[in-house]
Amino acid sequence: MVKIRIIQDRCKQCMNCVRVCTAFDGVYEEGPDGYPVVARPEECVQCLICHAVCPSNAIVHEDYHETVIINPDEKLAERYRNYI
Amino acid sequence: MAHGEEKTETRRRIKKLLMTLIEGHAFVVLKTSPGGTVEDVLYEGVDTRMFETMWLGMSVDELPRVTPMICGVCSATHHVASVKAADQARGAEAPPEAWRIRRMINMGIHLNNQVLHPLVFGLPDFLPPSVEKRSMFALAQREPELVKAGVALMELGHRVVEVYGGRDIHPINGIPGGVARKPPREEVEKLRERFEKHRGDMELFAKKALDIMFSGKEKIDSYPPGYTYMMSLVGDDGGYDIVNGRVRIMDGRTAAVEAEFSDRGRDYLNYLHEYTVPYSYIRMVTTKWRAKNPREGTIHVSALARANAVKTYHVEWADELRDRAAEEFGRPFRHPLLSTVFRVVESAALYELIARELERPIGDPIYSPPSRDTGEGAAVIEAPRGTLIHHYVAEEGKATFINIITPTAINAAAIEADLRAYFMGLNVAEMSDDEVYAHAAAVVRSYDPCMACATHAATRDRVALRIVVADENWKPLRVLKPPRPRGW
Amino acid sequence: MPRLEPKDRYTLALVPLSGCGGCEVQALRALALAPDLQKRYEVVYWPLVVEETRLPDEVDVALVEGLVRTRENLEALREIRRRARVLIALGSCAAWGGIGGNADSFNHRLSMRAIYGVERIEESAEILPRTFAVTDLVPVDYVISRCPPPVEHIMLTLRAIAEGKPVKTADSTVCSQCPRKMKPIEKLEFKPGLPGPDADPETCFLSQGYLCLGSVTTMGCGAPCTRHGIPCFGCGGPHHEIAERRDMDIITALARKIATLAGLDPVKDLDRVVKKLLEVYNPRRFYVFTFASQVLRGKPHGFAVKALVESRRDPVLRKRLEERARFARGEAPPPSPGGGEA
Ligand code: SF4
Ligand code: SF4
Ligand code: SF4
Ligand code: SF4
Ligand code: SF4
Repeated sequence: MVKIRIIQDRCKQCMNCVRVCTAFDGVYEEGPDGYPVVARPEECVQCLICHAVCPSNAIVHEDYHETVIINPDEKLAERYRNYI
Repeated sequence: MAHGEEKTETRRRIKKLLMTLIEGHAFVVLKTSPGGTVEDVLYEGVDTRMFETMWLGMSVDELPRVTPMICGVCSATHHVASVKAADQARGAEAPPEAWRIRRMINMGIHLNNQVLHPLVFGLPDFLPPSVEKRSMFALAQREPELVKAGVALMELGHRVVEVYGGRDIHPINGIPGGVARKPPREEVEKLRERFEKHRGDMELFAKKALDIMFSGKEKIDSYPPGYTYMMSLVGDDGGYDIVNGRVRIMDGRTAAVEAEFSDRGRDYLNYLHEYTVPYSYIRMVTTKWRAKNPREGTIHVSALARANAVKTYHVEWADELRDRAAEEFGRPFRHPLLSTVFRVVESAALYELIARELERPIGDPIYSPPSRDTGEGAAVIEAPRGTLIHHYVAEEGKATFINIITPTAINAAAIEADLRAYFMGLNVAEMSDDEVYAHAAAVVRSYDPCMACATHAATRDRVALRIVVADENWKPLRVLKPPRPRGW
Repeated sequence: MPRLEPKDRYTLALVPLSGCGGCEVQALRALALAPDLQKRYEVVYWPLVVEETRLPDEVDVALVEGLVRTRENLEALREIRRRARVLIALGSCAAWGGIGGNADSFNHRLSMRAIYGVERIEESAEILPRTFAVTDLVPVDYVISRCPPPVEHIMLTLRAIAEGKPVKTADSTVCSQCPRKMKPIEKLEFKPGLPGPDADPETCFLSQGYLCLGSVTTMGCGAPCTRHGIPCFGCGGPHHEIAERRDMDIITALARKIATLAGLDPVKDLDRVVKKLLEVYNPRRFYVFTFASQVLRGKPHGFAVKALVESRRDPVLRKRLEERARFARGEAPPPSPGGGEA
């Protein structure tokens, strides 16, 4: 099972992740404090669409690099390894 | 090789000096007779970034945040000039309160620049030549207090731009029709306190800097002026105003007014003439009535021209400092190296003007919506280095014509004229390279030419001096590598 | 990560290419405000601040400002790469081509004619036919983006290099630092101009229908623009994921976020949103700071090349450029609005 984390100090509370999740029941739910909560991580199909629509890169799938098929272009990743 | 050297005896020579301690890169090109006597001096700006075409077809409303990137040193001035021109193109009249904010943006960057120049470029020149790698950092070791005060003042200037303009470099607050936001009150309050606190620094900086320069009177006197005219924006009341007013062209010798024109609209085209030269990416500027003989219409713009043009700085202390300079050097002020003196005088005036302005809260309104999207506008304002002109034509909200005349472009011809006044007839073959360089640099630097304005480039040679063998038409034939300079 | 052997004092050079000097000012401020850096670094070459015209044979750390516009720029860049142990691309110009990259909107010969009235300045530096970002031409060790980069970023990087420590890299977007609240977009409609002071100061610009590039731009600036009522226009350069992944582009990444905010499907409705965006905004508008970058031009599903081709082929703009060329030669007054001569 993947571990999903929401970095709250980046989150814009836009609920794009809640709206977009492609899992049957949806992985995220709107929490009482206005931030999304990861309610059903076991449902996640790792489509990573939530990453694409999050405006502030606030979602972290802990084992991202093992699970992702679309890897970054290695050469470019190397070039921007110290991108400040 | 031997063959080539032999040729040089009969050929003319070009000496190219790369200038340091200015913003950006430029070369001074000395053309000499076979004997080494200087016959002509050229000032070359290398490279263009094509700001006058790159934004065609894009929204004219965005120009105020694109044109600042012409120059990171005086970006805020470009921002203000740009909104002033875009206002007219879009048929908007910015309310007075918006103008107060815009004026503060321009005054902030003027304060920064007028301190920056003496500190980084001007005063290191007065260090004894024995000091190696003369720079602000070297100055800091000899005059730590002066540099500390100066750095604090520079930061204050940037802070003013940041609070009123949104960002310290490349501000964004101005939009056609006004400004986007009032500065937050707490920030203004903080700034006001800082201005109170640093008043001592201002006094110390002005006093020390002026003392150093007045003691170098001989040096200042030794570089004669060569330009024909001076130009400056003058407020409607005849006083110091760097944003709105009338533009005056004055005689370079007597400072008598030759022409006066509007700071808005196409009027400037009736008085100024731009022309391309084959050796520089700077478009040179001359007066319209000398268009046939452009070298006789060179125009000097800077703090020096402003000092001659304005009746008062609206600040007593600054007026006194100007009077003191008048006692030392006489009026009108003409020597190019004097510009740095008036940069310091202006910094004193600006400090006071900004402090006064910080006391008065900003009222409403700060915006009035534009009324059209097809139109034309041009704006003349004062940048730290002199008069700056932006001219736009918009069609359906898109820019279709952009013309920008920067102070450095206007000054380029004046720099050439001053260099000619000094070098013509001298035999540089008898002078050491260091000496030639030092004299050329003193003149060039006094203009604080911000080459980023028009140009920018790096040198490829590791040598400062290039000697080019040329034919009769100055067409370069061969580059001679001079002997390796000391230490390298 | 490149490592320098531990030393008390490293040599520092700053090589300006075709930039505006803003980055230099920031670097100067960083040194002037941090006495510890003055102790750790000795400036050996920097035409703005030291009277030294020769690039030394070896430098420990070199900063490069600006984009490559002339052949001299190119040679200077190669030289400094050869001589520097650590090379830092400073500012958006060096990292992505920056504002100067927009010059590629038109054929450079046409642009030269329009500005100078002639195609070449014979006796000065040679202009290259296109602009290049520094990072596209030589390997760099650090990229400090933004136009201009904040003083603190320069301080932090120089300090980290001196101490041999890694630097913290940016992996979020401007939105994360922007105080505006994102709300669902009710009607998918875009407004072409800039918001005036009457726009809602607390709500995200995207929610209000203005174009804001915050969600695709790398973080670090603190969102000064959106705080001042002006949408972000991307001076920081794209978020690193957009740069590194071949399937992502600035316009599509932004359209995905906008679509979801508007309650649409980010995949199925993508084309629709992209089309709507491009109806209102010139595609160049999304690449203001990355137009020269080969990274963006090389995207298989990107729009940068399309933007380039469209503006070069635009007949109206070509006509305006020819008119400007006549003005530059002093043959005609500037064109008046609506074409023709005043
Ligand atoms: S990766 Fe896909 S399934 Fe998993 S949380 Fe994100 S959107 Fe939902
Ligand atoms: S999409 Fe990102 S920013 Fe929006 S609510 Fe989800 S985690 Fe927060
Ligand atoms: S990145 Fe910006 S500040 Fe730096 S040189 Fe380029 S335009 Fe100037
Ligand atoms: S899109 Fe722009 S306005 Fe909206 S949150 Fe992001 S940076 Fe702020
Ligand atoms: S908000 Fe955008 S445009 Fe403004 S400084 Fe940040 S990255 Fe640059």
